[in-house]
Formats: sequence, C-alpha cells, structure tokens
Amino acid sequence: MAYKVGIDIGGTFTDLYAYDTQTGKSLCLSSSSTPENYANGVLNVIEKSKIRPEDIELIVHGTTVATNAVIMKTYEKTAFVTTKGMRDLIEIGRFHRKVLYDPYQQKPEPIVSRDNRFTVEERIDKDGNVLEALNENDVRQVAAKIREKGITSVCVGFMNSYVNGKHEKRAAEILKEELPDAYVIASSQILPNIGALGRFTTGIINAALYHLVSNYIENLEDRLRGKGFKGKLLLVQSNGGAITAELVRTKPETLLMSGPAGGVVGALSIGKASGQEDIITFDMGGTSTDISIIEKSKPFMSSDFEIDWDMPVPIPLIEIISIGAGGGSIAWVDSGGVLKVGPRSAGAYPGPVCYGVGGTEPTVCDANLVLGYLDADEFLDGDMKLDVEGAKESIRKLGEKLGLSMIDTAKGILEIVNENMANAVKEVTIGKGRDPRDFALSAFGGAGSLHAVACADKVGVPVVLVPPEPGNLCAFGDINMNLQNEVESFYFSKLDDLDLKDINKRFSNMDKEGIGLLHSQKVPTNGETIKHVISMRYTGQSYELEIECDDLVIKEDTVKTLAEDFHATHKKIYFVNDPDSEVEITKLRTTVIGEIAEEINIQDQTGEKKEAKSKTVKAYFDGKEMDTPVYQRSLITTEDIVSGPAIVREKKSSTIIPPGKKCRIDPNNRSLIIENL
Amino acid sequence: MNKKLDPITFEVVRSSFDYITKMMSQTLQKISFSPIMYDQVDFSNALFDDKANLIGQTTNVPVHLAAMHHCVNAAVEAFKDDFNEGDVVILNDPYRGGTHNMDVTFVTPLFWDGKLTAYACSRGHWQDMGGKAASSESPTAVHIAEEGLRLPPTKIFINKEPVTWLIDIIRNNTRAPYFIDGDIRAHMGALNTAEKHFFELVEKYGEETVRACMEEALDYTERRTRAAIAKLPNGVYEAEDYIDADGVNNEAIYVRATVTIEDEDITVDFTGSSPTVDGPVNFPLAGTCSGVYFGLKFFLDLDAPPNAGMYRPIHIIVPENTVFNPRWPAPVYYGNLITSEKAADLIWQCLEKAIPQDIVGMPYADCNPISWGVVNAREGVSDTFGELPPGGWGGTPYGDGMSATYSRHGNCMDFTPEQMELLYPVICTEREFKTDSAGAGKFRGGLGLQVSWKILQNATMNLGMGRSRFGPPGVCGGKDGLPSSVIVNMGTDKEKVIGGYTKDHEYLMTMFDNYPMKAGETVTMITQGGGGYGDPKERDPELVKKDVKNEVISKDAAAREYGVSL
Repeated sequence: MAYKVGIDIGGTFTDLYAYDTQTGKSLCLSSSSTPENYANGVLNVIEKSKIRPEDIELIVHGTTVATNAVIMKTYEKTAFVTTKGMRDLIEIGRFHRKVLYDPYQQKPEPIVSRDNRFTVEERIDKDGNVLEALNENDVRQVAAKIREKGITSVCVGFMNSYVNGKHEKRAAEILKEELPDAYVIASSQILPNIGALGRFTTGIINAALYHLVSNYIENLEDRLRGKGFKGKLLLVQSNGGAITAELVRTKPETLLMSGPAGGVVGALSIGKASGQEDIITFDMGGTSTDISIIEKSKPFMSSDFEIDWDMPVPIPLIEIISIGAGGGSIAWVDSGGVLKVGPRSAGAYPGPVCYGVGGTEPTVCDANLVLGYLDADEFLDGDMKLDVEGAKESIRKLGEKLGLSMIDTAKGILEIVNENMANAVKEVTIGKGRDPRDFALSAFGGAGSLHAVACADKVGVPVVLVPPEPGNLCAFGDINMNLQNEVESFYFSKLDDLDLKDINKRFSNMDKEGIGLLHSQKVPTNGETIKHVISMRYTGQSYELEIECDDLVIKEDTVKTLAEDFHATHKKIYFVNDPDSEVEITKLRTTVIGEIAEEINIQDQTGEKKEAKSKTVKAYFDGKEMDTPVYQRSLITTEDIVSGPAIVREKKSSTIIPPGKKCRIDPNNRSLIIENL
Repeated sequence: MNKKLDPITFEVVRSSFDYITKMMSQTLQKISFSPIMYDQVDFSNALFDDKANLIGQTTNVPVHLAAMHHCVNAAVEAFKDDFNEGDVVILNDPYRGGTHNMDVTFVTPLFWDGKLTAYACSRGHWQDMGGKAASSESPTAVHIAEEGLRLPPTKIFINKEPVTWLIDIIRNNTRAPYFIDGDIRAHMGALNTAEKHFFELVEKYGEETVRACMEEALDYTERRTRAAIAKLPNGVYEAEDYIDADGVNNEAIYVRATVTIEDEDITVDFTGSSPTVDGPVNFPLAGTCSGVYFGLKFFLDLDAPPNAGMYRPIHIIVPENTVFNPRWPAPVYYGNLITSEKAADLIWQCLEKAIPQDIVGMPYADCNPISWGVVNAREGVSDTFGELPPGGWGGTPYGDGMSATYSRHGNCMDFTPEQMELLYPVICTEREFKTDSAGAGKFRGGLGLQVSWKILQNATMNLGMGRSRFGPPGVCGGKDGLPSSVIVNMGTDKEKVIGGYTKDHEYLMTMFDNYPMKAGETVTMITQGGGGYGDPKERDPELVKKDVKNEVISKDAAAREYGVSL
C-alpha cells in the first residue's frame, strides 16, 4: 500500500484525507486539534485512520504554526540591524491610522521592540553605488549587544539592498561569525524588492519564526519517523504549492497562509473534475468567511499581504479576502435603528444562543435554526443538541426593536450577512473587472453550503458546487499540491527601451535559481513547469499590474503582446486606459512548479442503496413556511435530481436548496451541483 | 424609518453606497500619477443624491467631509439644467466649496432612464497647480492668485468627450504637466466605476427604492448623530488657542470657540476669533465646517455613515471676514491643514470640560508639509516632490497616544523612502522617533519624528508646519508635547535652525517658501509630540522604565517629569 496523506490543522479539528495510490480508495476523518502541541493532533489523526505510517509515501501538511505565532505574538525575540537613521522605519510604518475616527486607537506592538533594533553606518544609493562603506566595527559592536541580550534570531535590513545586497550580506556574515549559535538573515536574501518596510518586515518575520517552525517540524518529523514513516514530509505554502520540511525551515514566512491555501487548491481540483476552471471559493466558518478567485484553474495571486496594520509581507501568495461574517456573527440593532450583523462573533464560547453554553445574543447560526435550515437534533451528527426556543426568544427580542416579526428578523439577519458576503464577492469579481456569471462558486467550511446559493444569487453566479466532505476540503487540497517556489527580482526599464538580451539573461538566472531550489528538495516529479510574470505600469503610476509572459524567451513580438495585454488588463480592471502612454517594467517573477499531484477519483463512499429523502421539515423561504424534504447526501445517486425547496445534510454541514433551484451529484467527483436547471 | 422601506432592504442598499465609493477610491489610488494620490492617499470619493446631498463618502480625508458637499452644489449651481449625461465638471476654487487649489474635484450627474438620479464626485490632491512655490505650497502668499490656477466650475468633459483646450490650459499652468493626463484618467476611472456600480444597484432594486434609501440614509445618520449628542452633558463650553503665525507676520493668531450642547443639538460658535489675516492660514467656510464635523465625529458616532444627515443637528456660527471665514482675495492654502485642525483642537478643548473622562490630549495637528522644487531650465527639468511627516497623537484615558501618525483632517500615507529616492534627487537619511518629544502624562502623548533628507541638486524648499511656537496641549493635567522645528545641515558646522526655537530662544516661523538648498545640503524636521493625558506622577513606573529602556524618554525626563529615578 502507498498512501498520500493530507493533514490540515484548524482551530477545532485536525483533518486528514488519505488517498491510496494503488487502490484509488480514499479516507477522510478528523480528530481534535491539540493547541498545547499541534504535532500531537497530527499523530492522533493518523493513528485514528489506522493507516500504518510505513505505508505512507507522502504527507502534505497545512499548518497554522506560523499563523498562530504571529497572531499570539509567540514568535522568537528577534534583533534587527539596519542602516543608521532608520531604526524606527519598521515601527513608523506608513503613517496612516487604521480607524479614521477612533481617538483611543493604538498601533500594534512592533515585532522587534525598539531596544532590540540597532543601526550601523553604511549607505547604498538607488543605483547600487556605495555612498558610505559598511562600518564593520559597528557591526561587531552590535553583535556584542545582541549576544549580551541572548537573542538568537537576527535580521539585517539595509536601505536599497534590493539593488545591491552586498552590505547586507557582509554584515550578516560578520554577525554569523560573532554569533555562531544565532540564525541570521539578510532582507534582500528573502525578498529583493523595492520597499524597505515590506522587505524588512518580511526578513524580520523570517527570523522571528525560524526557530519556532524548525522546532515544530523537527519534532513532528522525528515522531513520525519514530512511528515508522519513511516517506517525504511536505508543508503547504501560502502560494498554494508544497515545499519540503527541510527547505521550508529557511522560508517560514511562506507558511503564513498555509491553512486556507489548502482549501483553495482543494476547490480548484474538485472544480477541474467538474469541468469548472473559473471558481470563486467561499469558505465560511464560525467567525469569518474567506473568499478567493481561481481563473483557468489558477488561483489568483497577489503580494498585498499584511500580518497586522502596516506590517506588509509582500511575498506572492493566493489572494484571500477575509471578512468578519460567519455562523457565529452577532446580530444587533444600532443607534439609528438599523439591523447589523457582525463583525463581532460569539465564537465557540459563549457561542450562538442555540448552543446553550451561555450565548445570549442572536447569531447567524440561530437565524438558520429558527428558519428550519438546521436540525436541532442532528447538528454535528447529533453530537450537539440545539436550543430552538432560546434562539427564537433572542431573535424575537431583537425583532421588537425593529418592529419586525421573529421570522422576518431571522430572514433579515441572513439577508444582511449574505449581502455583506456578496459585496466581498463583488469586490473580487466586478471590482476587478471579472464577470461573476463566468464563475462557479465553491462552498466549503462549516457554514459555506448553508449560505452559498443565496449569496451566489445576489451576485449572479450561476452555479454552486459543494465538494464532498466540505469540512475537510483543506486536507484534500493538501494532497493535490505540486511543489512550487517563486523567485523575484527588481527590474526597472521602460518597455520601449527593453534590452532583450539583458532581461532574458536575468530571467534565465532566476529560472536557474528556482530550478535549483526545486531539485534541492529531491522529490521525484512528473515534470517541471516554469512561468514568468512581469509587473508593469504606466510611467508615473506607483501600482503595477502583473502580466503573464507566455514566451519564456522574450522577443520583439513578445514586447508587443505584453504591451497589448497590459493596456487590455488596465481597461478591464479600471475601466480606462491609454495605449499611447509609456509603459514601464518594475519586477520580474519566475514560478517553478514540480508536478507531483495526480488526479484523484473520489468514489461513492457508501455504495448503499437507500432512499435519500429521510424526512420532511418546515422551513422558511422568502418568509413563507414550506414543507421541505431533507436528503442524506451520501445516499443521493447520480441519477437523482433534488428540487428546491430542499435541504441536503451530511455530517458537518447542510446545503440549502431554495425553491426554483435544482441540485444533482456530479458523477466525476460526488460534488453537489446547484443551478437553475 | 421611511414607510416605503423595510429596514433590511435599506441596510442592504445603504451598504452598497459604501461599497461603491470604496471601489471608486481603489481605482483612483491604483492608477493615479501624482505621488500624493497613489502613495499618500490624499483624495476622497463620494455619491450624492439628485438634490446634491452627500449620501456616502469614502473614509480617506475628513477635511473633505463638508467641502465635497459644497463643491457639488457649486457645480450644480453653475450649470443648472445644462448639466447633462456624459458631462464632467472640474473645479478647485476654495471660495466655491474647494479646500485649497491643489484639491481638484470632478463631478458628474448620473442619469437613469433620462432622469437625474445621483451625482458621483471624485476629489484628489494634485502634485502642482502652479503658483509662487513648488507643489503650490506658498506660506508667504498674500493673495490667492499666488497659490496657483483657480478653476471655477467648468466642464472638462462634454458628452464624454474631453475639452482639450481646458486640459491644455491646466497642463500649461503646472510644474508637473506629465501628471495631468494620468490624474484626469484616474478621476474618470473613479467616476466610471461609480456609474457602473450605481446603475447595477438601480437595476436590481429599482430607482424608487434606491431614491428612498438615499433619503433614509440621511435620516439614519442624523438619528445616530443625535443619539450620540444626547449622551453628552448639556452646557456651554469655551476654549481658546493660537495659530503660531500666518507665514507673513511672526505673530500668534488668537482663535476661540464656544460649544453649546443642548439635548440633541450642538452649536459651535467661532465668534471672537481673529479677523482674516495676511498669510495663507485663512480657511473658507466650507472647510471650517469640515473641521467642525470631523472634530466632533471622534466623540459622537464614529461609525455613522458620513453624509449630509450629520450636518443637521450641528449648527455652526462663523462671523464673516475672520480667519475661519475669509473673503477673496485672502490666501488659504494652509487653512486646510493648520486652521481646520485648529477648529478641531478648539472643539476638543471645549469637550475636555464637558467629558474629561473621555477626552484625549491634542494631536500634533496640521500635516507638516515639506516640499522641494528642482528646476533646471537648460535641461528642461521641472521636479516637485514632498513629504508629510506626522507627529504624535494625544495620550488617552486608556493608553499612550499613537506615535508618528497622520492627523485628524486626513489619513495620508508616507512617500516611501526608496520610491522617493528612485524618482527624485534626494536621499532619505533619517526616519526615527524623537526622544522626549511626547507630552508627559499618566498616559503620554505619541512621539514625534526626527526625519532628514539630503537634497542632491540645487532646490527650493517650502515648509508650512504649525505647533512650533506652542506644543500640542495636554489635557486633565497632562503636559504639552514638544513643539516642532526645522534645522539645516544638522551635525555640521553649518547647522542652523531655520524654523522653531533657536538656541537663543528666538522663535522663527516654521512657514516659509523658496528657501534655497544647495546640492548636498540636508534638512531635518522635528515633528510635534502629542499632548499627555492626566498627571504624569500617576504613570505606572513600569511604563516609565519601559520607555527609558526603549530610549523614547531619557533618564533625565523620567526623573523630572515622572519622578522615577533610574
């Protein structure tokens, strides 16, 4: 036997998806997450699966270890060494405040406190010329102070190191010499891009996470090996690609969005099997909803990531918009007498009123319950009984403030939360020049399939997919990943003056570096792909558009195509362009992909032949009570067509099919497909 | 609530107004050419109903709160029935709803089925509109004509076609003609974005519902604002303060305000403030109103959607021909910054008496604009660039003020140092907190900055910075923050204070233009610390120790101000 195993750690559950490459069978289960040491959860869930560790050839693991460290600020104490005069650049940020009118707001604590930030004499100008030589004596003195403080993570970040990293490199060398036990990194080694704040912050987060991530991986790998695991351990990066445990230790910042990336890749793989290449992913949990875009089976990437206010980490990653709307979002009436939902969430504790563990404010979950969409006795497969009366009472009270009936209030809560989410979907589609009618919406997470159809309707998305095991989609996505890494380089030229020889040479060096990284991981692949992306803007602008360059070697014709693509994209996104204006290039990116994913056939899990319709309940649609049949998802056959109103239930989620919609099962991958047939 | 509307539909449509203006701003920022727009985000976008009432505005620049409203009204007034589909009006006249000449506003009517339904409006700060000094920043102007091209409401697009002669005139009157086409395109992008999304909304919910929601949006904000005012104690509260100088005369300018809170209404009266002054710290009425609205909003309902409904319970009395309500030809450029902030400072100092438990120390105020012009006519070089280095915010009843954060009237970002060096002949040599700049207090003010540049070519320099004569006031026993100053060639034998207090305690104005900088010279700005909150002796000694460890206060100051010896 040879298993591929995807493991995703979430706040509540650690999910596993295993695929037997010989039999084609798959297995999917969860156990509780173990915040005291997340590795325990990984071992527990493998044990629970009864798969023998020696039968596993590959583990691909989506981890929150980096994300949590950043949120909880449990990263390593780190020192930062920078150019004289720039000690506070990373704390000053970009001047602006987060909330426009709050007089009491404060900025987040910097990752490196001021007493651990040091400066040395050196300066390089914008062309890479040395204005002031590196004062090596300064560096050694700083090293002594760092040693005295017992700090073992150090980042060096100098001005303009994106054009010339010599000083940074030399300073790092000296620091390593002086501090043999420390991890020392230079900012330009991680991200050689213009923008000191982003480059420094990325370098700092790399240093601050280094020991923590290393220890986690070492501990996990040792224990897996101890149990007999002999395969490869890969980690999921924020770019939607995998990387070996060994290599990620020096790139811990690529793990910051490791968890959600699995879901996007999962939705991508499932969508592909259904013939959907253009997908909006819709991952709704208890406190937030994550939305991303997949076009032509490629996740949309951006470099706009911030770990906190004014703390940019501008590495390429899957762009995921997160909004504060989830099952636990609280409904309330503001001082102007208007109903609002969120962003405050009841979370798991005190939780929605219907959980009966202390929550008193009505939530989205409570509204779903009183409208008949959730089953009080079968929630989480009957693990939790819900308090319908409590939920009704809290919503009735809220309705009194609005002059609305209980049912109208519950309907209003869903209407507003759906509108908030629909606006976020519009922002990533219409707001970026994309027509929502060209997309399918893939719903997952605990609450995604409850709201997906209503939300898709608001935006005009014609098809909704609910993947099998929507609660475990991240783990499924994990085993669908390829190895992937990016190499970026600052490159400044007017498009018309482009030196083809020079840019091709630069790209070729970047390709070599990327392929080198791929090969260094020693994972056998089924093929390698290289992609080039060029950042372009009109001369005078500051923000770029990323344009894919299909010709790996740029020729005269390519330049023309690039210009045309740029003008067209600008028009599509911003509704204006000017083909006569000068265009310039600012950044190059090479993406190297090592193909290791294989097509996974999801088979019918049960094989049972039983009536899928289990009962009929009363549920409200558009304020009207309707007899609504409930179907067990696992029993629906590919010949069945389920007409709304209907509810499709499975272990961790429910899908609402409103009147007028029809739902069927995709024979290729057992997804639910809901559309206006 | 309007009887034709249910609260759910209203909230759904209303949130779309926010969404539409947000999308407009995204477009404007991403494609504009002026660094002050794309990097420093000095712009606003808004939607208005068919009667030119502000319905929704992006939350970028509070000083545009009322001024946008006045602008659209000026455009509508100018063209009345001749404002047609596909027309776009441009204007920047501070005496017709503008703020200063640099803030250029675009207005277009949105017709649905041939009927006027709404207006979309996009305003941004352009890099240069001509005038006496680079970036049009001239603190010594004595006539508005010295502040650059002043456009009355004029059609710049007619039936979607650009009025090329007008664009030519604008291009001919700026130091940065190469930004003009890109910036116009960016504003048009924003207006097109508004049109597209607004019409989608009308199509979906029907024109009547959308109109009803626009009307209700005003009532809604009014209700929320009144509810917040009702929580403040009734009374008459007074405060006085000074503007450092007007840039022309080195004399402090007296200003005062009386705030009367009566149940759900507030009246702000500036009677008694100085008459119009010679230099450009006068602020036309629309701007002063903005200052009142944003000053109050911090202590009313922070999240109530900003629209004309907020204007209803707030009554403003400003006598004509004062610094808060000047007449042509008074120069006005710095009114937008210094005087709008002063209006807000006066209100906050009145509120200190009304709600001492909730008030915060004064922020650094103003926006500290510094700019440089590099002209080399022989080589056809004409560069103008600048920066807005902020100071600290006031201490609060709950914690220390924010350090180096943009002040109330805007929310601009920095011109990032590497980008500035890439584009202009300058090296950013320093960007650090200024030790001991924060006003002491139980919770201290935020820190000011010490920020320096080396200018690589001969250049002219302009500066318009306030709070250099008197630092930002503390409240409830908190101390004032450090006043600002500006120094050339710091640390060399040519070091010289050119604004603020000299070593001999002589006060020099921090407002000047066309100061000659030789290639290779440096200039350093020390920005204001925020005012403190509460008695410094009540500060937790652990916090004092932490500040000393971080070198944001000195050991001396710890002993002197806080009585903590280390």
